[in-house]
Amino acid sequence: MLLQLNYLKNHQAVDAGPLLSALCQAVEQSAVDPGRLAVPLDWVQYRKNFRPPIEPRRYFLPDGSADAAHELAIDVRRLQDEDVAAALRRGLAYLAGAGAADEAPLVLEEFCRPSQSVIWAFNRTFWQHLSAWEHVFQKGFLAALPGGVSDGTNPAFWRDRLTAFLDTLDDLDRRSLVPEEIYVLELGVGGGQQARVWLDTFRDLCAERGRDYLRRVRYLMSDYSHDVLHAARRNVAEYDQQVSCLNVDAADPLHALSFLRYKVLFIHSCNLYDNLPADEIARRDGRVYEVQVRAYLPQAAVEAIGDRYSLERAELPSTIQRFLRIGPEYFDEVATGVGFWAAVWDALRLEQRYVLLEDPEGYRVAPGVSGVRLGDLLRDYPGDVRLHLPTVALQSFVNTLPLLHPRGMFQVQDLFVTDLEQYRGTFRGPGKMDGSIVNWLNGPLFRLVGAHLGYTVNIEPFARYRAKSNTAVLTTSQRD
Amino acid sequence: MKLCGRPPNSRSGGTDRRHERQGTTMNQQLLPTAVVGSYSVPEWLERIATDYFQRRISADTLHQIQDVAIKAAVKDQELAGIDVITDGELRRDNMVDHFAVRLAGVEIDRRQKAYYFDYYEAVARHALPQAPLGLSDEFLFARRITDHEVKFCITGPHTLAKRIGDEWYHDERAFARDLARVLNAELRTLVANGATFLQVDEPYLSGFPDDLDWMVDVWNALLEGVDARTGLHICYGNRYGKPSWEGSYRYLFPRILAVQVDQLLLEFARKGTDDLVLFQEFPNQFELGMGVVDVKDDRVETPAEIAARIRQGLEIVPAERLWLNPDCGLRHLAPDVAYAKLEALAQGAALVREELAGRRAEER
Repeated sequence: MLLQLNYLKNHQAVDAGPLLSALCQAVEQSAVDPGRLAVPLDWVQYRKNFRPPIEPRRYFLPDGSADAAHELAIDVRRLQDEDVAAALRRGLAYLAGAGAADEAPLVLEEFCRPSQSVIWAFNRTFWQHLSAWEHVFQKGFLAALPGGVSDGTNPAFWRDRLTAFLDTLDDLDRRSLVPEEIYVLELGVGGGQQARVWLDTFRDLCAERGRDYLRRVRYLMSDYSHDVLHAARRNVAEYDQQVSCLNVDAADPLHALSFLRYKVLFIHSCNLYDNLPADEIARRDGRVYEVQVRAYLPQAAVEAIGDRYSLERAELPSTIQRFLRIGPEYFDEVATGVGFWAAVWDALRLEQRYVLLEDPEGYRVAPGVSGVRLGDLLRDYPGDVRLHLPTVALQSFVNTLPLLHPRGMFQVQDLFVTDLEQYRGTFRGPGKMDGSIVNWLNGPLFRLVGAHLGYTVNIEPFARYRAKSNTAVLTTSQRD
Repeated sequence: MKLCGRPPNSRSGGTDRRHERQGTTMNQQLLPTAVVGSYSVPEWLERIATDYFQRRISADTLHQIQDVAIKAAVKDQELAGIDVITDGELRRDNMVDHFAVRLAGVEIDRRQKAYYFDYYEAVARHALPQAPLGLSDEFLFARRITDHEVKFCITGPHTLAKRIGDEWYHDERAFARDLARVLNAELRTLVANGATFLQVDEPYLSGFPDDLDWMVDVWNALLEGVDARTGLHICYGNRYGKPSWEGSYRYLFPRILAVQVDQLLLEFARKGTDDLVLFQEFPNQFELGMGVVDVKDDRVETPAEIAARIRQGLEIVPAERLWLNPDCGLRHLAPDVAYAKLEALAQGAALVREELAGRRAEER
């Protein structure tokens, strides 16, 4: 049996004695080959996530037959309320093919890549019906952030960034190359706070320098949610001449904005990429596996939701599907709809399995992203590891850069892993954040993809502006 | 060998008849199509080239693979229906280093690259001696495998002087002038080996418009006595398939009129055709190698779209002086996209030629 101590809370010791004793006993009594069993011990920092405390994961070959390896993942943070011995026995029985992973789970989909899972339909619903959620729970989505603040509005940060931007504009001006319209693009606009800070700061800096650039600014607020755009627009009402709102798919901004190819002088986003569908791969004993998931509701949740909303078990999947299509209005009372939504979301879990990749060297890191293969990422990083492929964030990245003016600035404030080694120290998602999903972003992969596209990607911690910040700032500069 | 277009009989934007070649069988086809220089570099070739710069394969192996890739690139251009073709520049890791390693007097301390397309830190540490670069072998290889006219492109002295470090001249202009002297001999050698169309690429100039003041003389020195059709390609950059600058070609005029070159190759597909009017405002005798295919967008234009651009060109430039080409090199496009774009270029040109032929028949 291979015990992997993955994550600890703040690197502090954990008394794993009772757990290990129960584990050894359960393994001894099970039919699972301990020589092929890996047991990662995790401390999952997201109070709400998609994992049961003890989770068996099977390995499969590409043809669907079972691989001999097994994994039993344990979230040591959440063992207090569990009957650990029973859960271990059940998990091992499942791995041995002699039982279900959970008692009568209600499965909502077939196994698929995580980015294809129904959980992302919930995520989308959250942003499309944000006002209903916030109204019912009487709190804004920013309250879900650690400390309740977004680094996206930090005044000192923006002053620095926009000072650099003004330097760029002045340099272009010296060459008579400032375009008549200075396009600025914000991807994912939140509540409009960031746009407000951007415009206020830019206005003040222009005044300090005696420059007249603000008149030429065309600030494009883009989001896939009308609801979000509508609310955000109110925050920048005084800049009506500068601001436009656009419905844009974050995965492919170029599609809607192709008329701005190489014309946008400043592109930025904050807490967007970590909220886009992502995948995961894992390497174990030199073999590389794709993580596949399927969403389910545990039996206890099915019963509780059924009782509360008068739904039979068999009705629940179709009710959820209809809810995801229509939103909380599917119920007569919006508040009832939001309550149903929150209950399902809270209970939603992902069963995981590993499927062997036949050609990991040549595996594309994301559909539509060419030139960089998985082998390029893993080549210099030996050993067992499980890491994210930020599938849609990468697509967004490669479909946004062609909008960037040759001298333009690109910036992403988000949660980044800056070194693959960091995947071994802390759980990087997916976690639940109110009604949305959070996954940390694979910074080294952005560096590789950026380099292939002719950009040097820098990822700097935000701690310079806020000491306890987890976020980082990705910027690009043209590769010579 | 098929040669395209009318014989180049004027080398300048003015009126002096500087050059006339005799004894070649010219294809008199109107609106000749050409590539600007590079052809699509497939991902596998990038990986192999990187393997070479990482010392994982030998130079000999790389050259054998490049030979095969060039044959395929030439065939693609032929099949697409392009009149004047190149070797796709598939031997070039990038447009600077291919020359830097051949220039005596330029030193490169570290020859390993993480990625084949990266630039060396090349530095001129001595006055450049008059030494051959040996580019004719590349030209001759391409000419041997096709009966189409082969254009050969070199990176211009402005670009080389901007990118290669200067620890000897301490004067960009003097460095560029000396580069022109060395490259002029190379161009003459290419002509002696049968080259009929030589092109000079200057992608950096648009970022440094004031340099035009002294570059006119440098280009004229570069092209002095070069007995072939000559072209000067000035774009807004194509490094990694994206522009380095944005702006208007207005800065070129009228100073560019003093350059003794047959053809100006400029981009009009991506940037739009607004700058065409400059050819009307500043009468000249240049051929225009009009960029009618956007090389920075994967979307393949239809022949009708390309024909529409060509018609806009014909409103300003007479058909006898209009050549058609992509905006820039095709290096960064996927092979299937590059091929489809060239095919659309050839078909778009054919559409307009047909219209012209019909109109001229009516006039007769």
